[in-house]
Amino acid sequence: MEIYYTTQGLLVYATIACYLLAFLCALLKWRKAGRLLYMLGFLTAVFSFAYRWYQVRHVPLQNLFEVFLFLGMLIYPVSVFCKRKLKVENDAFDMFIGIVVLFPAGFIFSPEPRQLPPALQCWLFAPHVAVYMLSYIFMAKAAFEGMLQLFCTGDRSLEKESASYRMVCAGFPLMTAGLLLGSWWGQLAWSDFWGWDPKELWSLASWLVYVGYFHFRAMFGRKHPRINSLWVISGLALIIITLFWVNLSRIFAGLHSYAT
Amino acid sequence: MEKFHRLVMWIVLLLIILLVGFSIYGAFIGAEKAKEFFNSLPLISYWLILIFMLIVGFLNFPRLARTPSLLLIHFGCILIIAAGMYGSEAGHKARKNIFGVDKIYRGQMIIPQNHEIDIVKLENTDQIKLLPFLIKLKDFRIEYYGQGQTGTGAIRDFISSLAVIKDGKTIAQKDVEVNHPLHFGGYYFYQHSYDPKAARYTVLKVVSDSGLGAVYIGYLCLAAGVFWHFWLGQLFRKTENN
Repeated sequence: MEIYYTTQGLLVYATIACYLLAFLCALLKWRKAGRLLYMLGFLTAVFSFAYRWYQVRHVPLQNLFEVFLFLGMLIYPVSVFCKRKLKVENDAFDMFIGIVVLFPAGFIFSPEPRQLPPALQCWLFAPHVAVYMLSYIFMAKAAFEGMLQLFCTGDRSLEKESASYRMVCAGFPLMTAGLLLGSWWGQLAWSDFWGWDPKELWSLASWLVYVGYFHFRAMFGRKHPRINSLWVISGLALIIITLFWVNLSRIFAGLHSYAT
Repeated sequence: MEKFHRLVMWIVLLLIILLVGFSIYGAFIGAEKAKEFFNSLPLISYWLILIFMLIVGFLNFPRLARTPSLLLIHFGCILIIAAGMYGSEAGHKARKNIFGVDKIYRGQMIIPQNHEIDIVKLENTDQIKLLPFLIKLKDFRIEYYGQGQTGTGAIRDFISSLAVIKDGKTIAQKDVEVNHPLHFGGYYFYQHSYDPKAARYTVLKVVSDSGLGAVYIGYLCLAAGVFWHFWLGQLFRKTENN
């Protein structure tokens, strides 16, 4: 973990600060101030991304720092999109995701253009990571709606169940695309479209939980909203294991271990 | 009939949950053992049952066959699993025993500079096999980050300039590098290793392409199907009813 006193670093920290203040305002129910700060954070993120683009002179989606910078910018449009088109509104949670997503960009991934090992120099790398992360944002929102559902009753419970379902519907195709792009890349780089390594298997397991959810929901509809929510929450739990445990713990030695 | 539908759905759900369990177990034992596990006899029967249930699904639930997006998704899954099994090590063994098709599953070639070689050393054995064509290494080079070829920067790429030769004639050429294999005659040739002392030879990994085309068609079906079904069908359809 490191603090970067560069223009780029400071722009990231400014965005995080805006999102954090927006989040606090949202918690305190200062709606208007929260929304304004959220938008200010978004504009800072856009500026930060544009600055990066100008600095490196290519689409800044080549390494993990740039992908997370991009996602930190994308969270606001995702938020607006979910609110307007999908009728799922939870600004405070989105602001929180914005902070979580920008944290690694600000403190963990080096903004230095890294010398990628040969296997990572593939055009599939950035889209593979980007669609996965975007899908994870939707899945996190789905799990959040699912958790809210667990504490609601009556009409509101069904409303939350359906909001959670819409979020999974938004995220699942992206998750599938991430899985398939990764597999395609694996075939080009490591000669196997499926290598059975731990990260692949965790990501398959999380994908399958949503597959199970869809089949369960196709069977019972909304008769058991709580069980529906539990599927979605366990999906997120497996996603978190896929993301962190495998990378950080180094319990398993797999192909994906150097991705951090 | 209603009871039968329910039973089929429960079996499907059970199969999905089982696969979640298998995957988590596989993640704990590491890639090599996981590969063995997923290719073992009990798991082969699992895969066959899964394909069977996907087909039963089509027969049992007319909606699956009538809704194009669901058809694509499930057809894609059948194709991926079936083609994956066909192209697996066990699939290659089965084809050798039943049909006498003796295709190399995985192997390695060592090619010195300016030599033409057709010998493949099979993976995990001492056996060798010959390709029906020769591969010539015209040039091998390592590229580094930063200026020059001094080797001070990190390695950026390994590149083998290859030519495929049959009956004395060059029939294909390619610079094989990491992420850019050569595809020829039913095999993929990957840049695998090299002569660490003088860069006078290259090591290629030879991989059978059996079933791969079908797997990719399956991927396309699955990807098109999920976007169609969930984005166009569920999120943005005109009539809201969920």
